[in-house]
Formats: sequence, structure tokens, C-alpha cells
Amino acid sequence: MVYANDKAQFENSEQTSDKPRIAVMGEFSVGKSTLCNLLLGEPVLPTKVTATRLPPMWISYGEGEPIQVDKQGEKHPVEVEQIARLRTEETSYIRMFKQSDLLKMCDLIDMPGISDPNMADIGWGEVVDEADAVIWCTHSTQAWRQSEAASWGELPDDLRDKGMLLLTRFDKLTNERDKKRVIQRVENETAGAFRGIYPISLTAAMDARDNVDLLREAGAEQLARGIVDLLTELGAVNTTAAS
Amino acid sequence: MNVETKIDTYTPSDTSSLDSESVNLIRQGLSPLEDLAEKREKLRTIFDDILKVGDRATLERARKLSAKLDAVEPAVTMIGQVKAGKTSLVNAMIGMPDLLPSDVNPWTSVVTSLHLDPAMSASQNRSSFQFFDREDWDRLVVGGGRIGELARRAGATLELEHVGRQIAALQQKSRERLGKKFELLLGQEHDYGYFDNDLIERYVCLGDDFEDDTETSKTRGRFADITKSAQIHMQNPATPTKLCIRDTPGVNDTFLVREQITIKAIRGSQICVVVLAAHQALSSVDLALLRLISNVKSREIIIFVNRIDELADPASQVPEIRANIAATLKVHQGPEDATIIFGSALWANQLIEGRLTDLSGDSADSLMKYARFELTNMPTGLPANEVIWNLSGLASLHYALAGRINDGPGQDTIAAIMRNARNLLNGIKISSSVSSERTMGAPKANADTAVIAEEYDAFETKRLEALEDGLRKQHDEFVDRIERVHNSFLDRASASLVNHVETEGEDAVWKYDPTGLRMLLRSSYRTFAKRSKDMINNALSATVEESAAFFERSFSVPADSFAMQAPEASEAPAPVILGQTIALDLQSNWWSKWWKQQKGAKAHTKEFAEMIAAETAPIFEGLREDYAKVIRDDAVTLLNEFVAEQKTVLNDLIRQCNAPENSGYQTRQEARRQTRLEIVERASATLEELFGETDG
Repeated sequence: MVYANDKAQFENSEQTSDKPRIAVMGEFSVGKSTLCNLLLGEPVLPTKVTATRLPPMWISYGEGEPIQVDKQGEKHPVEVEQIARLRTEETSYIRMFKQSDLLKMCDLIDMPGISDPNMADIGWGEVVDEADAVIWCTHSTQAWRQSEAASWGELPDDLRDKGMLLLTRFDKLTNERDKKRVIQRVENETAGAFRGIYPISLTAAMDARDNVDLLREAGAEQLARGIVDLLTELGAVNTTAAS
Repeated sequence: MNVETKIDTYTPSDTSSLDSESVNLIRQGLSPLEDLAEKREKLRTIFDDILKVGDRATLERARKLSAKLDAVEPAVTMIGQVKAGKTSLVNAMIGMPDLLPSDVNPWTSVVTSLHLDPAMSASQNRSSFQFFDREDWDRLVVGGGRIGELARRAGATLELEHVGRQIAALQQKSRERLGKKFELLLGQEHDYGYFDNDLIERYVCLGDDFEDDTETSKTRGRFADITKSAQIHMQNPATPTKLCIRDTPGVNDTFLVREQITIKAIRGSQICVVVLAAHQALSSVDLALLRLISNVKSREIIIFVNRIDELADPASQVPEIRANIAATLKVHQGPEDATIIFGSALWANQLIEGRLTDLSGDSADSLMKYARFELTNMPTGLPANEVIWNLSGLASLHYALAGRINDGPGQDTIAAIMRNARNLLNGIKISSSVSSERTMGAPKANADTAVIAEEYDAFETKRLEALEDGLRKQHDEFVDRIERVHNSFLDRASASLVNHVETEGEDAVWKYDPTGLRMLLRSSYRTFAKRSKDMINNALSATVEESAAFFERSFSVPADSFAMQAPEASEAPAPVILGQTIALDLQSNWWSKWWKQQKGAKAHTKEFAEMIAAETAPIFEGLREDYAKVIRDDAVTLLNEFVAEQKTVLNDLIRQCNAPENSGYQTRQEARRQTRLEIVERASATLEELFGETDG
């Protein structure tokens, strides 16, 4: 397989790339970018406590500067530092390249958060049609609200059985009974809408680094296994995942 | 009647009694209310005086006003998204961490009003729970409530099925919990001479569908599905005046029908606390909620950003979130001057319970980091508990609330009663001075007293008619205006739709933002409210002046004796009805489905106009009928009350005039005159002092 390291090669690779694309979606500030960073093994995307307000970030295996794809489909090379300043109204998505293990198996698309009043006019655009699977992030202490259920219902039907529901910041639920009951309620309310529910503490998983016990405790191991299953089903690979 | 009544005395257990430390913390925050409490006490002494000297009719009026004074209870409504932490915050606010049940899952299902009263005794604690009435319930289960109607109109079959399933599950659950005949309970109320956690849980907790079969889980939430509101009256020494705090079910719950309950509750509230969760402060749902309540006065909104205990580093993140909220409010024309307070109900509750040491690692860490940062803003030497109370945001929240109440609704009510008291005192003065002149042999009534009485009745009728005419005129203009707004909105939207079909084709979904409609309606309503208020105030002052002139004409008394004070029209209710969701708001999902079902541009235009008309009809009707009625009723009541007051004076004068000279009646009157005047002067002095304080 050929990986892009300049614009010409990228355009070429885009046409030939048949890797599945996983979109990371959910309300703003639920940890989507943090999840991407965890999956990529390095802090690729900026994270902060308020909404990050970036266009869809489409990350593929490779190297080189990011590329802005505007609403007309025109491609413009951009520097990483410029991304935060790009006008989201004019940007369809940004392509980024990293050489991480996960990206050998799939592309990752970090989508803008829903329910951000300042991004109300920025739809998901066509990018969401490009996705083969979705990881939906919801905050454990306010999990699965109507605004999320409505947005999920809006997605194309064929994405429904390719959806994983992540309960982020699961460590904010402080006892086993609470944890169990939140999972039970969300299972009840989403019955059949997702292939699986994955409680996780992203910060604990970040801090765990390579410690397998800690990763398991944080929920990262289960998530990795879920992603591998999903990718296997999508016919991508049959190797073990890394996170 | 199947009203289940239990009269038990409630023995405060450690879950709901207040220790003196908490009382002090809360009382400090609520200190601005002391001012209101003092005014109330002074007013009470004035009424006590009036009760000593008034005649029968005056006494009755004084008793009514005194009861009105007793009933003054400023109300604060807590609103926010599901799981923002409203219930925990309410518990912290009243210093009873365990009073209302809160949970990791959405739990609050009814509007719960906590009535705090510093004066009542704990043995008077009581609670009552109101069930939906038959009409509400039928509307809910047959039509799926407002959301169901909306879904049906928009042709959103999936959503309709979803709501249908929720309703069926609700009925099923109620049947299991309450028996087959549960519908007989509708429209009823359960009253108890106590309250405790078990009792409250039975009525206000949703409970889990998947609940394990423990003993509590069977009683918990037993009545929740059919309960619409709960009233809990409790003695609470921490508040200087009566205070009502209202907890509401969260919005944005997947159980759609609960949302309407909250929207209804907001309507009657003057002061709202919007509770946000720090990790996702101000989402579009929060913003919609803020818009809903800020239709008249933004000053009476407080934003409480809860759960800062979940932030990794509140010291640096709080300023960032604050700036972000302020910027978003500005861009979206939200209530820019709303106070924003950051805090943690968790820290406050742990402090009250003396369990701060139980804080989990992260939360304790956040607290320490925040403390180091915030301590620089606090006076040195504060005791540890006050420091933490400050960090929890509760101190600021209480202070802000008390300040708002004091400046706004609390003061307004007191001022209205003060004006009534002044008129009442003036009335007594007049009758005293007439009797004084009479004993000196001065002429009394300038005409036949029967004629005077008739003339005054005619005057009353005339003024009332004038007021009603004025109100009708305002109302007609308002109806005209909103109809024009509605039509021009439909025209513009239809033009946009036709244009869309021509340029983009029929497959591309057309969208149209209804914000413009709301803004125009809001401004029409504001104009209506403002003009009505001016008109009412003018009509009231004219009534007062003419009444004074009438008295002066009819009786011989010093000219300024009849200087009465005109009552003032109340603030018009905020048009929260404008916030009601209409199909156009739901563009993202239902709208596109509706669109795809329609065929042909013509059909679109026609169907569109019909749908929007059907959607907006309840809003127009509400504005036209309910809201206008509140304004009208208030005006008519004010006029009637004033005239009734004056008639009391009039009748007293007539009785005196008609009493034979040197009769026993008159001698007795004269004997009491001196004492009366003294007491009245004393009460007037106190009252004027009070007016002086209020104006200054």
C-alpha cells in the first residue's frame, strides 16, 4: 500500500484507499478528541474544557502537512497551527496524516460536536456519508439525552449496526451500583441502536500507558477489542489492535 | 373521596434537620432578605394599629391585607437539562442534603415546591401531592401530549411510535404499581401532616424500570407517573422570610412528555436559576431554555454552573468556561447581564454532612486546586467551613437570589401592600376629621347622602367601563398586530419555499428559521404589555383623582384629606409560551421527513401554511387569551380594590353625617377620636418612614 507524503500522492492514495472509516461523534465536550488522541497514541488533536469548534478532522495513515478541503471540494495545504483559525463555514473537512498503528487498519474522523450553539449552522455535511462506522461518545453522568437520540436517529440506517456507544468519564460515577444502573438505563433506552456499550475513563486510559491492568480497569481494553471486532466485520484486518 | 390523609407528627431525623452551622452559612447568604423581613415586621405593626382603630369595614380590609402580607413568599424555580444536578443543588440550598432524592439516572419527575417558613413550628411540617387531572392525562395518553401532536402533524411516524411506546409503558407501569383502577386517582390530591424521604420518593421519583426487587424499589415512585406536583411545607430557621424553591424535571430527557411539565412550571416564576453542568456548559438546549425564560427581564436569571468538582483544574478552567458562556450569550442575544455563578452542590452537601473527607481523589484534588486559586479573593481568616461554602458557590447563589428577590418581586409586593395601607390610613383620618368638624358644628354632606351614594356607584361603573374599554382597545390592536406578523411570516416563508423548489429542486430539504416569527411576536407582546400598563396606570390615577374630587365636592373636609395613592399595574407575565417547540424548530430530524413526504411545490406551500398555522395557533391563542387575561384581571382587581376601599370611607362618612346631633353614637365617636388620631398618626409615621427607606 502507498501512503501519502505529499499532495499528489495524497490525492492518489485517496482514490485507492479502501480502509474503513470510523467517525467519532457525540455532543461537544464529551471527549471525542481525547478519544482520538488515545486511539492514535499521541496528542494529535487539541482538547479543552469548552467546545473545540473544529471542522471534521479526517485522519489517515501517512505523513505530511494537513490539507483543508473546502466546500467546493478544492484542496489547500495548511499548517497544523492554522487549523484552529480556519473558517469552519468554508471548510468541508481537514485531512491529517499520522503514522499510527490504528491508522494502518482504518481512517478516523473526529466530527464536530452536536448541540454546540456556536456550530449550529455547521452540518455534518457529506463527510458523515463517507463513514463506515461510528463511535458515539456520551458523558456518563448525563448519558443519552434526547438531543443525542434525535441526532443518532438522523444518521443513515446502514450505520446503525456499526455503532459503538462509549460512556466517557465513567470514573465520575463513584460506586458499582451507580455504574451498573447507568449502564442498565442506557441499554434500555438505546435497545438495538448500538452494537455495544463501552464504559470508559479516557483520562485514566491515557495515564495507564502500557499497563495492561490499568487499561482494563479504565475500559480501554474492552474498547480496543470492540474496535477490532468491528474492523474485522468490515473486512479490514485481522491483527490485534493497539491503543 | 379517596383522599388518603395521614396526620402524623414528623420527628426530624438526622437526614432532614438543620445543624446550627448550616443555618448560619445559609442565613449569611440570604442576609439581603433581612431587609424584606424588617419591612414586613414594620408593616405588621401598622396593621396591628389599624386593627385597633378601624370600623368594621376597615377591619375587614385590614385583615385581608394582613393575610396578603403573611402570604408573601418569593419563589425561585430551578431549571436545566436532565442530570445537571438541580435536585442536589436544591438540597444544598436548604441545607438538607438528603431531603429530595437524587440519583445517577434521571429521577425527578414532578415539579416539587419547597415552602420554607422561618416562623412556623416543625410540628406544622406537611406535604401534599397533586395528581394529573383527567383532562391532562387523556391529552397525554391519547394524543401523546404536545410532542405527540407535533409528531403527528409533521408526519414523523417513527417519533410518534416512540412516544406511543413511552405512553403505553407509562400506563402499564402505573397499572402494575397502583392497580387497574389507578385512573380513579386522577384529579385527586394526597395530603400528609409530615414528610420524609420515603414519602417523597413514593411520589416524585421516577424509579427504575429494571429495578431490583428490593423493598424500597417497590414503593419508590409508586405514584410518580400520575403525580404532577408536590408541595412540601417546612419550618426552616435559615431563611429570614418565607421562601419557595421549586425543583423541576430536567429538559432534554428521552422521556419527551416530561418536558411540558417543566415549561408550564416556568410560566409562573419570577426568578429562575438555570443549572448547567460545568463539563458542557451552555449547549444549544441550555440556550433555548434561557431564551424561553428571558422574554421579559433578564435581570432575574441566575446561571449556576454546577459540578465544577468534575473539572480537572477548576482554577484555570472556570475562567475559560465563564468567558465562553459570556461570548456565546452575546453572539446569540442571550441574557447578557445574567449573573453567572460557579460551584459544586456535591462539595456543599458533603460540607453540611461533615463528610468532606469522603470526597474521591479527583474531586478532593479539584477542591484543593480551586481553593488555592480562589482564596486570594476571600477575606483572610475565614473559618474552613465558610471557605468551602464559598468555593461550593452556595454563598454567592444565596446572596444573588436574596438580592434579586429584595430588589424585584419581594419589594414590589411589599410596596403594593404599603400603598394599600396608606389609603386605608387616610380613610380613617378622613372619617376622624369629619367627626371632629361635626362636633364643632360644621356643615357635613353637601348633598343628600343617598344621592351621594348613588353618584359614587355611577362613578364606579363609569370608571370600570372606561378601564374595560381601554383594555379592549389595546387587546384589539395587539390581535391585529400579531395577525399581521403571522401572515407576513407565512408569506415570506412560502416565497422562500417556492424559490427553493425552483432553484434547488424538490429533493433538497428546505429549511426556514422560525426565530424571526418569535422575535416579532415577542416585540408585539412587549408593546402590548407596555401600552396596557401605561393605559392601566393612567386609568387608575384618573380614578383616584376623580374620586378625591368627588369626596371634596360632596363633603366639607380639608382639601388635601382625600389625597389617595393610585395602585400600580403589575408587570405583565413573561411570554414563555413563545418558547414552545414548533415543527420548524425540529428541522434536523422530523422536518426533513415531513418534507420528503410532500409532493410538488404547490402541495408544499399549501401544506406548509396549514401546518404552520396549526402549530402556531396555540401560541397565538395563548397570547391573545391567557396572557391578555392575566393583564386584564390584574387591572380590574386593582380598580375594584381601590373603589371598595373608598366605599368603606364613603359609607362611614354617610353614617356619621346621618347620625342625629349629640347622639350616643357621636359622643362615643368623639371620645375615641383623640386616641384614634394618635394611633393613626403613629402608624402613618411608621409607614412614611418605610416609604422613605424604599424610595431611598
